[in-house]
Amino acid sequence: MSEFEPKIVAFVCNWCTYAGADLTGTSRIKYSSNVRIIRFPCTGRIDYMLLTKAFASGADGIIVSGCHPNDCHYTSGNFHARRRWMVFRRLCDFMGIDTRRIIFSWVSAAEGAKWAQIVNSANEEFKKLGPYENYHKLSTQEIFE
Amino acid sequence: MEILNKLLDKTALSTLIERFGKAGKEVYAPVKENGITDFAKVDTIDKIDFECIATKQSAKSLVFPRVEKILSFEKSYDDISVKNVDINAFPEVVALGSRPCDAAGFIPLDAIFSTDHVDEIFNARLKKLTVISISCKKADEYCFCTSVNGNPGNTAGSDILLTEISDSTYFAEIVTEKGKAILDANTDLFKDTSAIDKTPHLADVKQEFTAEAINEKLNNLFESDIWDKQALRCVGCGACAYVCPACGCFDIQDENKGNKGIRYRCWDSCGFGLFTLHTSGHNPREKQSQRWRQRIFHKFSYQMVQQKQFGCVGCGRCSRACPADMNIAEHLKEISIN
Amino acid sequence: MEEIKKIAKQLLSENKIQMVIGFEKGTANKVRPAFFKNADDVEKLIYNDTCIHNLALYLKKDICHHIANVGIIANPNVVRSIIQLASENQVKEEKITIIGISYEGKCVGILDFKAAEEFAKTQPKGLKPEDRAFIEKIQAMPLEERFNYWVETFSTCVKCYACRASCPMCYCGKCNVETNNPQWIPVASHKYGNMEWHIMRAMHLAGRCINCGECTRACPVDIPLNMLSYMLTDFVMDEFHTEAGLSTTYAPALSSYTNVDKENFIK
Ligand code: SF4
Ligand code: SF4
Ligand code: SF4
Ligand code: SF4
Repeated sequence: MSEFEPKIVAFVCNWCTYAGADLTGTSRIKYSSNVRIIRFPCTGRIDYMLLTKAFASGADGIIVSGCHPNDCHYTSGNFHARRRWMVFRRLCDFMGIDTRRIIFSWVSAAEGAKWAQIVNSANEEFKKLGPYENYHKLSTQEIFE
Repeated sequence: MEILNKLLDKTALSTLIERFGKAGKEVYAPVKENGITDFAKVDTIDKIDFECIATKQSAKSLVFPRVEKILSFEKSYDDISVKNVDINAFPEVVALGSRPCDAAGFIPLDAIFSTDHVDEIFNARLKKLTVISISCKKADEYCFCTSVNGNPGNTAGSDILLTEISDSTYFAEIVTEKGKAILDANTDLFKDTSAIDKTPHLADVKQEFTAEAINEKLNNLFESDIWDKQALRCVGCGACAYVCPACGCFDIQDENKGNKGIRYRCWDSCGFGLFTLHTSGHNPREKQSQRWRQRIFHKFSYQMVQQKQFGCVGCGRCSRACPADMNIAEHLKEISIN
Repeated sequence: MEEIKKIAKQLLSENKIQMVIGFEKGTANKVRPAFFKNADDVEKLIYNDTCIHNLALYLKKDICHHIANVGIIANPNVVRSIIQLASENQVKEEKITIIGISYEGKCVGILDFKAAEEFAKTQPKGLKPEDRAFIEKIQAMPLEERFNYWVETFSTCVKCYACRASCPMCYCGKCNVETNNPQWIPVASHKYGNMEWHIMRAMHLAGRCINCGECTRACPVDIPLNMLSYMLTDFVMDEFHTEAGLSTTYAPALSSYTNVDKENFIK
């Protein structure tokens, strides 16, 4: 049997992490290819509903990443995002949504190596957790059958 | 069909439920869970809550589910395939222990789904539904069936109506061919009897007005300020329509996952502002009072004109569910003497 | 009660206010929200410990739009809702006259916003022991059980949105559930759609909910959805040391930040 390969969705901001991921590529650093990167103007724009949508659409794990504090292109987008993530994580936890499957990070445009490391370790972690069947079932059950 | 009078022991009812199960019929009855009584699937009699005056929600979801798939579709490289839902696959369902108002509720619902356009899905479900109701020996301050042509021992809409005449026995009225089919298949369980006067075994629900009087009054009330006055405290939540056995409004939506998707219909409510909002931004029912007026007019005027049927059976569910205590019976009474 | 009536009557007859939002007798032994437009009407006003509806809701509805000044019988929950709405620029002080009632049912007279803030601080706040016990019970469940608990609990939700309609803080002209291009929240009340609706609702009320319980009271199928909001109120309190409904200059937890917010979960 072939090894389980998690579907990973990464929500990243345009100015830091996306550029960082670009650097990973141009530096020819190898990292897991099962991550689908989605670019946003800012972490402040990454709505938590997008995360639940990703799970519902079949993601097994999610990475959310943006500029380090004080580096936000729009000054405070990531500060707002940070709070939102804190609250969202708490809500997920309370509702039994597996927060181990959502990894948050700060990756700057200069941190190509860090990005590779984040994705690789996330991949390992999600592999261990297996497919996120609970949520996938939720979104397909009943009427889709 | 002429009504047949029989007796049915409670132990026989229990056997009947088991036989339904063996015959592959799904039995739904009032079941109390976490303090709330609602219709749920049962396989034995002891799960049934016989004491409940009216379940929180009506029995309408048995024929008009909250969310119902109409068709599914799938896109391939150069084609789209569409598959209608298989109406022959619906299960045989028995509604057991519904109240006479629940049973009566299927009549206006059927009228909505069968006038002009005959809705295949609804009718397929209705055809496979057998209604075995139990007369009410208790009523509460919200019940007003007698004011809208019903009563606690009304047979309309039921296939069999049971009336508890002693701790161990029901008087069973076999009302329709569907009811008779059950009798014929289970003759050993039913005993013969002559007609029995049910009145001493029924709740006393005082008649406060007549549906006809409301209908009459509404002819001149469209522009009245009574709607503004009555709807003041209504918060426009729509809960009333969701619990109503006779409300049939629905929305149609598509949902997809990748290349596959479904089209479904799901409950909606005229209490919502969005219900009538046009794409242009114009809303013909802008204010809550206009929506409240629509609710009453639809049930007591339009439905009578179009379908020769009132759209309210007096179960009082809407009033029980309303967070603002909009008591429909009280409002109707006010209209009747306006 | 006599004192409440006296104040209401006087305000109305002096035309300082043109309507009072309060309570009257409802079905059987229930009470219901009522609107009194003249001093004679006020005879029908009642107040007792079953008057728990959050009347602040009506301040945002059409019925108050064309009224210069609305009086409102305000228990601590209503007062806190008004303060919260004021902090979100949804109500104006010159359009509202608060007739305050303490949690013990005592009339504390007319409160301007400043006095309302002081009053709110003196009233019991935070989770009731039974609510805390409920939340702790859920928190103690293993992850999967918690998930299943909520999926099952929300599976009976019919998506009538009575919870939304009855929450004073849910005043958006166009709610996210009505945004259909793209369709954020499925319209259907299937398990998935219900879960997403409740996640969204809880998030939108995080740091804004004042724990009045009106949402759950309004729910026709008695879903304890207020527990999500209560849990988050508690979290916001612990984490950011702020609480909704106590100050008209409050910056809602989710639209403000500090440079030192915790980030031990961020890699
Ligand atoms: S309108 Fe109210 S009382 Fe009439 S049938 Fe519907 S829920 Fe029952
Ligand atoms: S349940 Fe009550 S408040 Fe809600 S829409 Fe119906 S009448 Fe109005
Ligand atoms: S308890 Fe419910 S109704 Fe009250 S403020 Fe919070 S979310 Fe709104
Ligand atoms: S009031 Fe209850 S049933 Fe209606 S949408 Fe809210 S949680 Fe669902």
